Amino acid sequence: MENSQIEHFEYDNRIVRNFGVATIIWGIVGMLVGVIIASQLFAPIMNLGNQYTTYGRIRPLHTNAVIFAFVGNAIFMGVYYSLQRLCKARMFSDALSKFHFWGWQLIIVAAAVTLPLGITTSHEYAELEWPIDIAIALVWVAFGVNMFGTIIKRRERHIYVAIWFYIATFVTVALLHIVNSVQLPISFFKSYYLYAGVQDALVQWWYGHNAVAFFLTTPYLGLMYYFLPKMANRPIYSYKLSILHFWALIFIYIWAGPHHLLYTSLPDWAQSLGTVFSIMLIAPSWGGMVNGLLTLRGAWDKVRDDTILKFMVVGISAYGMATFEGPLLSLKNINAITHFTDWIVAHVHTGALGWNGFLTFAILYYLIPKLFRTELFSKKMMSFHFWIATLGIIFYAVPMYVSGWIQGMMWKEFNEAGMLQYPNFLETTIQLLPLHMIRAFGGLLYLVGAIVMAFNLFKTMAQGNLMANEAASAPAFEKDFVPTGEDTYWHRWLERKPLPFLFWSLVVVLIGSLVELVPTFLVKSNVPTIEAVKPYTALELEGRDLYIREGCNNCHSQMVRPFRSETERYGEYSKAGEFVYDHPFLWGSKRTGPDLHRIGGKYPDSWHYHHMNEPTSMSPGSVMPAYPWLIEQDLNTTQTTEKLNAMKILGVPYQDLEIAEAQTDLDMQAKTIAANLAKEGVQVSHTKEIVAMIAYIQRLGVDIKAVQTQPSTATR
Amino acid sequence: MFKQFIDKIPGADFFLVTSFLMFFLFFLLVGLYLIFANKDSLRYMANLPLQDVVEEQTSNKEVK
Repeated sequence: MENSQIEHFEYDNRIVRNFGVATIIWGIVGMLVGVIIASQLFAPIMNLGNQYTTYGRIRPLHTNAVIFAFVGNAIFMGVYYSLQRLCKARMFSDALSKFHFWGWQLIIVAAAVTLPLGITTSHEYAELEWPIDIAIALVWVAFGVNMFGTIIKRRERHIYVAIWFYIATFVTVALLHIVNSVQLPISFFKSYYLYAGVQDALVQWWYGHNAVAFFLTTPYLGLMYYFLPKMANRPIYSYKLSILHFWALIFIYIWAGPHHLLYTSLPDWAQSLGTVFSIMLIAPSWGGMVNGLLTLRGAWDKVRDDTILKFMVVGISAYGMATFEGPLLSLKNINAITHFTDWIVAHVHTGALGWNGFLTFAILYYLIPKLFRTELFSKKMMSFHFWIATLGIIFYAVPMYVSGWIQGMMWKEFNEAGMLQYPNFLETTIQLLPLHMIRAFGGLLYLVGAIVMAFNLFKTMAQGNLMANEAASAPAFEKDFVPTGEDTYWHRWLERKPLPFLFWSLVVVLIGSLVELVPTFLVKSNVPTIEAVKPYTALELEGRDLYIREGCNNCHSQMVRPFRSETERYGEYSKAGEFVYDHPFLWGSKRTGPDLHRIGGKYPDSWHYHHMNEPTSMSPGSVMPAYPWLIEQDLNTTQTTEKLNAMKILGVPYQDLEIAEAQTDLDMQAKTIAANLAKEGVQVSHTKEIVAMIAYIQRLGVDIKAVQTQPSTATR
Repeated sequence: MFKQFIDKIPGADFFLVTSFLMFFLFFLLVGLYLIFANKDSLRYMANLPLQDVVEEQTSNKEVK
């Protein structure tokens, strides 16, 4: 190496700055939407009285904005900065960097427009419709080509462990995105998932869980492994540990998805696999946390004075807490109480606000002054940001933990007579309102902190000059390198070869994926069919699409778990065979309102009409938004036939005649419902959306009820 | 308890045992590599993020 010629080159800092600015702006937007939806849960007026800003539509906007816009841009900012320096090379292609940046921002804008319009697939954290999915794939590939191009033209033989995390992130996110986006388009804005019911749920939570793993965790571990040594000016505590926990983490994480579906209709073996691997996950997760915190051994005096390190320490500690709590939540006895409650929201936000938020803030405070060759505008403001954001996390998480526990216990409480203590779900909701108010206050504190940071960083940028191209030099890469001694070890070989490294990372994550997904798809006994379960009628299918458009699944589950507390409250527990025609599944993940799987036939049509028009008229104190536009707007039936056709292609057994006469059938059923409503004193045209919505809601869970009531009818 | 689930899936035992063995073997190999790895080279690798500090000090001349 010593004899090699020194090469001069320049790092591209402009792209790092661009992603940094995007991180700041989208972060504030995402957090602002978060505070708004948090307020909607105790003050329905915050739904702003129009269909584009209801909780169901903008909750996905919040999650997409903070995950893909805030965290996504932060990942790219950190990767583009660290990768160039670790590889001692400029990014492979400036054009690809620009395409990546602007492509990603356009995708975010497309999400911000389509989600409030109700254009959604309903899959959590993957709500964007198929054209945007394709755009995401293209931009992601551009990022990958740019990253691997840079690694290949590097001037440092060894690929540092941070880059391994970036590679694993790239390959696994690509895999997750592709598998979870297999949809059959009906039009430019509408598609149905290939998978149905249980299988769709498994794919979604395999994706959802691993989006947390490979979008919110592995890239941030990579960033931690680069930026923490830089900030503390000391190498990582144990490089050995980083290697070991890297492989263990990416292998084990991918198996844990089914812990999101405990006590559901997912086959028991898959649930148990999810639990076992979730418990195992503590070890590699804590490997990362311990490695991070111990890097600061002997340097804790720096933490006292350096706010950037304070952000890192709290962030890494939050990672440790969240990754300890996650496995505990996947134990069935704990999950039975916490699932569908605010506990999960608290858990997620400990990770998001603490780990992702604080690491992002630390990296921004570290990078911006460097890129602009100046000092930070105000260290006091940074310190203020740290304390207000820490308080924000506490005010957010603690009430949500309390709220989750209260909620879970109230749902399960029986009185001495053996009846539910709180048979009216609304009682449990009202009980939580003060805690939701404190949570929104916590979110507001966190948002204020982010706004102060934005002001501080933009002032810093204004007082400095961007070093758009930073000169650097390094010895040229020896092309004819012949490994000797330890360099001939297999892992050393792997550490030098990015493409084989990518291949083996893919193999490692594929093992768990295949073991979980393949049997659920191929073994029929995993999803026993129920003869009484029939496909939805044309009107019900349209109603189901309205349910998806309004994002009802953000607050209502459709999964009665096999507990007495649930069967008493809702009815018969949900069976896998009931969902075989559900493209997509709509089980939900949170019960802000009650489960709806057995809602069909529980109330008259007019009850639903009044409830949708003004929820408090039927349920005083309800925090559900009103949906008056369902009564005003005509149902769009121009694609009904295409929708049935698409369902048939996906395996739903519609007869050709049913499809041919879909419009006629739809009209007939709509007129029947309108006539029922008229009898109950409600005058509404059969062409309105509310009629389709009522048709769908009244169909939910009815098929299996019919089976149960038949024998008793026959006996009578 | 786990066995009853596995029994229901044809070939699942092969699937599970093979995948576990693959990972265990891989984990073992990585562990062995780390036990016998040269401390100097590990130190060199761990110090990679800190190397460009020198670069920055010596080549901070570009302004645009």
